[in-house]
Amino acid sequence: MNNKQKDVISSIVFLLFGIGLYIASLSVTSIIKNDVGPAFMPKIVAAAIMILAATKLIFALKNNCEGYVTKKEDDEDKKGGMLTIVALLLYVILFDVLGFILSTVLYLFAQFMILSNNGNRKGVLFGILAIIVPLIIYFMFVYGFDLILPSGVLGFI
Amino acid sequence: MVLQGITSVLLSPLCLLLITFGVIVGIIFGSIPGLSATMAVVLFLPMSFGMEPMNGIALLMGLYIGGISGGLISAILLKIPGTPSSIATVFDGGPMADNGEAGKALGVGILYSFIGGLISIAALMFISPPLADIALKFTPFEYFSIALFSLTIIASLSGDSLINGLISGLIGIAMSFVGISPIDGFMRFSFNVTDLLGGFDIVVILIGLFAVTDIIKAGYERRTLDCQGTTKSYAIKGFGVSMKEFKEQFVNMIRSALIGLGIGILPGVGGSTSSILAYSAAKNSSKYPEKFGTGIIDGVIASETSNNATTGGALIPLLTMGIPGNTVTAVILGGLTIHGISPGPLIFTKSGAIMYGIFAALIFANVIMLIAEYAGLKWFIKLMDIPKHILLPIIMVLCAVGAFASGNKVFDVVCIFAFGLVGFLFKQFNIPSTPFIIGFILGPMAEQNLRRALMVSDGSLLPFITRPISLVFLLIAAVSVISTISKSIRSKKTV
Repeated sequence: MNNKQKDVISSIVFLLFGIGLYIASLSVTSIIKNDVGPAFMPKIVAAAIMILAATKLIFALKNNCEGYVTKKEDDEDKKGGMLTIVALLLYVILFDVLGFILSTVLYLFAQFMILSNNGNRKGVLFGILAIIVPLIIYFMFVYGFDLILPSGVLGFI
Repeated sequence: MVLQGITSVLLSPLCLLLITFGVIVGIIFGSIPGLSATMAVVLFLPMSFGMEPMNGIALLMGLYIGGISGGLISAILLKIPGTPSSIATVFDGGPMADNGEAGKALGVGILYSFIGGLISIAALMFISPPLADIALKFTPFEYFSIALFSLTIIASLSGDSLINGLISGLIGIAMSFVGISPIDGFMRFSFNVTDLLGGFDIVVILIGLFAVTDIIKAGYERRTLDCQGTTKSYAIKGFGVSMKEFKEQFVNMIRSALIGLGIGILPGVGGSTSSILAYSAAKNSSKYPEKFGTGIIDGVIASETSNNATTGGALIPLLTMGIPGNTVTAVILGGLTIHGISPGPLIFTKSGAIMYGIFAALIFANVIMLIAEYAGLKWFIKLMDIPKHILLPIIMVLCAVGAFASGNKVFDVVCIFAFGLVGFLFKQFNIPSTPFIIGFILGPMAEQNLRRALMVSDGSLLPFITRPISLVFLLIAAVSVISTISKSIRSKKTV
């Protein structure tokens, strides 16, 4: 994506956000007399977002400078990024279902594998760390700081 | 009260231990490129919940001081600033290391970090009480104007584009609307989701935007993740400055400290700006500007004095008015509120002992920073070698635990992922996320005061411009917006 496409997309998203916020604030009602009410500020903010996003959109559409419309070479590793996002998503979903320890073991191992490369991928070390770290954190927080972490399917410990 | 505050810190072994621990962990986070002072404070915030207020806050102060200072180690030895605040330290610290003077550069950097920190704490102690007295006279009109002023300054300074900064700030304000509204307690924007009734927790947003975003980014940059270059060897003797050099550098030191302090007080301008500003000021007023960048101590002194002077400076508006100057102080604000301390003009009367405790904790943290960095340098350098592909996933797990601990809700864990994704998309689309955070914090302050003000004035906007302090802040806000717009128009013409 070049910078122009980025700005066009982001301004449209912000414009929609502003419109959404405005519509949502229509259902907010005022209860105190002499007060502008809880919908006043949201409406102002929504209007300001819409104006700024529209301005940004116009600027972006008008601007055709060379550096702005050509795509920069990026050395981003899309696969690594997407895998990280998926791993995180699964982690937060499984956090409650499987409990802290199990979900963390799975997440840590997956994330170690994703971030390492052929040169430094040490499966056994990753496996050991992925099991020990969650256990240390769990017992430190549950017994040290009196914080209850979701135990999930391992409810017995 | 003064004595009570100071002794509550200095006579409590646990408190001193926590500060020491905080400083050391802060230095580690500061010295590893990719981990920041903000991340360190965010990570330990949930752990401070369960502590006595003074202990919890002292821990945060230690992390803050250590985190800002630790960046100099990697700036000098790796030529990579460990935190954005030490960018300018690389300019001369790097070449000094190349010339075989790494030990001298480190010694100077550590010593002047300490001096810069102490000067700023002194300023904090002397400026805060009178400023709080002035702020006491503020009415909702002034508070609203100050909130607006802070937002525009942050928006115009935190990125290349004013529009992007402002939109980001406004989205942050919009996020603060979720939940119970101020004044009348109306339930809004919760869309019948029980978990949204209480609104978003600041800790959750901070962890998401600053820690989770970095982990997603690490996935995209995994090929270069562990390529950090090689550390230079060093031999450290004394603090690297002779009495003669100290005298020669005195003006540079004071000037850099003042720049750091001033920048710290201004909302939204962080240590990175102050170190670069102080560096260029030192260069411009030097008798030998051509030597800058070749490895002279002047550059290291300017950068390290000013970025540490920013630490105390940024706490001044935070403590006396509740306005965070940068992201780290925004997190500290979260920590203070959780312990029932509401920063504002009344803080000296309501939580005086805590205030003086904070001062004592800061001074002690600076002393520990000096000792720890000097004596423990060897180990900090070793820790810089921990591979990122192992470190970052573990940090992510601690973030998830932290988010869960802040409200005992699994929903908060889901939220850090959502805000992490938002932060990542913001980065991809060149939108700064600092205004988002400041908007989220100042949103309720702006709304509450605007509504109160309009109730008092019966809907008239006139008092905002007839009251002098309010007018001044609105004028500066307008000037900053106009000057940013004209600057961007000029730069577009030259392209």
